[in-house]
Amino acid sequence: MSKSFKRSAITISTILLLLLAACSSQTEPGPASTNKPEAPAAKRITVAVTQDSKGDRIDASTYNGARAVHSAIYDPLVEFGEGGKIGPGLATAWEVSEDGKTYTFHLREGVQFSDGSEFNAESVKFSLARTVANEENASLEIARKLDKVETPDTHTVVLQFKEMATQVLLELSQARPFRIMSPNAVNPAGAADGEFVKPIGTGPWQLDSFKEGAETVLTANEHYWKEKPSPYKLVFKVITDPQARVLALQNGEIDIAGGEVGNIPYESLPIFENNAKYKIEQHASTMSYFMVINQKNSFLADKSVRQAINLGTDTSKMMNGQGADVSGLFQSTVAFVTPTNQPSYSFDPDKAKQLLEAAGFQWNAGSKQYEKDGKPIQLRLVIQTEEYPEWKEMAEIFQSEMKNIGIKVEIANLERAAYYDALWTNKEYDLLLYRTYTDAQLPYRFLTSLFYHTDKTPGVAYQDAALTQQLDGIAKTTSPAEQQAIFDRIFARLHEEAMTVPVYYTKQTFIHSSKIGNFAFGDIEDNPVKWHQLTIEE
Amino acid sequence: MKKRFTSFAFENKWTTAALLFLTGLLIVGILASWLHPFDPYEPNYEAKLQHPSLAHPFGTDYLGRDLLSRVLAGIPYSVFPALIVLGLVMVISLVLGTLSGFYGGRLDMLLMSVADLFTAVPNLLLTIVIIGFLGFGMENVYAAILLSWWAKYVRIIRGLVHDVKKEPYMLSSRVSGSFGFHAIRRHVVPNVMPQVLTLIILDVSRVILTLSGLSFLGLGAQPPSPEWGVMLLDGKNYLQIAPWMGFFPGLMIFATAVAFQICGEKLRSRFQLS
Amino acid sequence: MLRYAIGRLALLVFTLFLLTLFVFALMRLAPGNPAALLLQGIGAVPDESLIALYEHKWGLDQSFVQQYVTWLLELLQGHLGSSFVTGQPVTKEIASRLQPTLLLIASSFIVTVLFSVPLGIVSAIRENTLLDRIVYGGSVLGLSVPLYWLAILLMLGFGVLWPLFPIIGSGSANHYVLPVAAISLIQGAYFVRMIRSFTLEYKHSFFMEAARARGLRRRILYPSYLLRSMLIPVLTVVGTSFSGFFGAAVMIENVFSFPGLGTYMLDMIYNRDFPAIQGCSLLVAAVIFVLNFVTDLGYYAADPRVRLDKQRWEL
Repeated sequence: MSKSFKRSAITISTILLLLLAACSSQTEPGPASTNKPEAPAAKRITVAVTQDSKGDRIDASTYNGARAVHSAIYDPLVEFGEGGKIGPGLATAWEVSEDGKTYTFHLREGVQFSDGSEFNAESVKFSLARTVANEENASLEIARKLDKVETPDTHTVVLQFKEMATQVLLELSQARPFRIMSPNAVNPAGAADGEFVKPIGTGPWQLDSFKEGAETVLTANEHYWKEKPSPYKLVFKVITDPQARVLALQNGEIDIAGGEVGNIPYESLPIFENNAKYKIEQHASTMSYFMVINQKNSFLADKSVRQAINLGTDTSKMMNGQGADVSGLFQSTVAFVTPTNQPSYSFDPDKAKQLLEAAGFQWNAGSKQYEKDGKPIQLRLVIQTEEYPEWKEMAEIFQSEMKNIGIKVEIANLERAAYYDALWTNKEYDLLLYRTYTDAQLPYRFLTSLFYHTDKTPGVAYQDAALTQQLDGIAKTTSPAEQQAIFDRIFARLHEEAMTVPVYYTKQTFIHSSKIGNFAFGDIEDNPVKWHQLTIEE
Repeated sequence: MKKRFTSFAFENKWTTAALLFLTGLLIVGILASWLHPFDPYEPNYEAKLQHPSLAHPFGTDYLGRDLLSRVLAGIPYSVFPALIVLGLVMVISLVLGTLSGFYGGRLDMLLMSVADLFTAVPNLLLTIVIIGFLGFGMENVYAAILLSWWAKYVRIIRGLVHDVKKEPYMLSSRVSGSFGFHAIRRHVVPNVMPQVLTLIILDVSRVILTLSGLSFLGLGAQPPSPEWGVMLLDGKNYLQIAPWMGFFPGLMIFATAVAFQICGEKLRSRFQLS
Repeated sequence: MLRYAIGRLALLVFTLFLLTLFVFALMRLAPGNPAALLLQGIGAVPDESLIALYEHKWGLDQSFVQQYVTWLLELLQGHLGSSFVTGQPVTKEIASRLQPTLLLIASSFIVTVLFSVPLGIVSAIRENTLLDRIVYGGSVLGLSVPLYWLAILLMLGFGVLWPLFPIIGSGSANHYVLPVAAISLIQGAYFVRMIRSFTLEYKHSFFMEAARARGLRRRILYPSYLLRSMLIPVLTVVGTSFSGFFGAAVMIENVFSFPGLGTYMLDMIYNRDFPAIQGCSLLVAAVIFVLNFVTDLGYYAADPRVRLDKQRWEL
């Protein structure tokens, strides 16, 4: 045999070996493929979520994990209902003292946690103490003002505050961080600073398994007190890309998608309309999209310009015509909003132009823009599309509407991080598209965090002394009637000064396969669907 | 000389087609604003999401804008920048690569370490950080691409210069006393240029794909820019309702990239590069 | 050989050090406050005292040098710090995301090599035949397709219109089919082109001409001469292809909501999770460096010319 042949034999066998290795490792099934998700014991209802829910760290006293998962596992003392009405939850009744310093809660009897242990005053005391001990919650009113928690008997809890507290019930009704967790959820049991072990609540669901970045599986809490527990498993599957959620719904990988947890882009709705295989469910939301105005801009410091922008915005063009009903910053579903107390600007481009001319702006026929002292009105509109892809289209429509009234708008679509920097710290925008908060945070908490203005910490979205004074008034009364009167004035002030440009009222839209039955919306957006009532029909 | 070029360029029908396509693209790109049938920026809500038809050969988008007009108006934003960025990459890496390869030593070592650094940071990370730092907008995307691409070329050019340095004519030039800058100008640069140019042209399509990819991820061009990557991103959201919205911009990216590939391959076979 | 290897290794460690410093600085230069982003993400209101609390917890209130030295000392003990977003050790987070990505890259790599190496070689040997033209044309087209576009078309075609494969996540072997197909098509085009041109180069080289002149038959000529000399260029293409595969995987993972390192990295960049980004880039860069290093050593061992050409390789 020649040397060269030997060499080539070695070469060829090396290649063969490589190929062989390649084949064998290709046919070798991955570890994941051995346990196919198609054959579990209980049937699964799969829901798309946009973000990992951090299922192994859902501590009721923290902000870890998705809100929808928090509210599926834990119950609140009191529940937030439509129009801001507070109803009974784990507490059946409560009294608030005249001075707003003492809150007494009478707890529901016979309620058990998912581990079978009893729900009582001790568990409430533990949950509150744990939440207050967490530094992350320092800015909440309960954490700031709570003096002590007393438990006169096993089913009564008394909260004593150092000074008048007006937001207590609202804070307790939120998805977090004041929901009630079993003392056994931490180690050592009952220690406010104990190490979190596993989520144990009184809600309809308990944690079954969790795979980071992929899915959180919940099973029914056999001890659920309110209604019959679900016979199914509930799977929250992470799908970050909106279009991928649409496709996954179409090929049956998920059963439900939508809402804030896993929003379906509105432009894809026609795919599911008039299709027997799917049902579209819509429900009012409390959130609105609006533009934050930067007063530092010399044009926007002028009230006429702010009003002209409002008048020139045709919200009915937004979201394919769905934006028609915008009147004022808040939706009618928000607490303290009445049919008459929120004035608004209706679309009137001619009036907008008149306002601008009255304010001393001249029409430049060449550039088709309004200008003052040779300076045309040019505004930079900051948006982000990572969390709110629909803002791009809204911004483009707004841009062309502003062009019609002689205002030039440049759109800057920022990365999420840079966008929030612009909003909270560096203020590098003239207009910025943002959203209101939801449910119990509206309107008071939302308004204080964006419009409360002091010399030390300037208002984030707008600086107005009169508005700040009115907000102070809310914190000084627990009487709903007095609060209502103040909110009437606040809404009027927001409108009169044209402090924002309301753009769109969001809706909660869910799409589910028609084999899912008994779909019902939850009371708050953080608990958007009554998951435990869902059924699978054959 | 001119005749030789034409006969070289047009001897193959594919190359001919590619060159004609690119020439057309260039002309339309320059004359863009006179050529489009509709205003590429003005919404027309009555004509939303229309199928391709005689009036709108590429259909219309979600704001009723004519897609053909937008695709044509997008040429200066989608193709020209790739050429400019690569031109800059070429100049920078030619200077650094020649210095590094020709003089060697510490400078060489330093430059190569830095180049290693830039090639090892994932491009996307580098780009996002740079854009994050400089702010959004196409200019910053160009800067980011420049920063993540130069290193590769410096490495290649350095290698080429090394090879040239060993050629007999370099030795004779050295013997005759000309080394240093003169030699670089007379021998090194002219000898590496054809190969560098070929590589650059082969890479035009990759840069076009990268640029549109960054826009597709939402980092690049801003609305209402008709940059093709942005249009593709829009199209993705309407994939099943108005597939033409993504199809045509995607096709344009694809066709342009193919045309540059064909020309690059032609040059490569001409200069016998691998 | 040993001296060469040690020298290269020292340089590699030094470059990795520079890299960590580089990424460390870049992330801190980038706009966006991780604390504010975290609070925004979980639905809390980012007020100043809360932000300060987090910054203190994460050591962001220290000077840049202090932060970096702390991180470096931790690294020397094998810790990459804890993620801002999840509070978990970064090593643990990366480990849980690494497996699907490695599986994705490995299977794409195998599929790519399986079809592109033979195609590239055969197409060069049968230069200018119909097969060659198809393969060559295919590779030119493949190099020009936008990857994300291809991925979406595959999703639409084989996930929805003709629902053969799942399109979301990484639960089963079936989940890998479409992502692997997308990556392999694009990377394969590149491989085919490189390997075809290397083969052509060797085919027309002096030693092959000489062998042909000696009257060797093709059956002996190609396996023993051509394929053997092809080993090194093929190794080069293969050895340096990791960053290409990784880049493609990042894009594809995002399109297919694939819970791997790519989606994790993008997510962490958007959240300015410094320790996580730092850990990921260190890992990816280290892999790229080591592969380059091994490839170079491979040259050194396999190709006697490399050993002679000291100036070019002794860096």
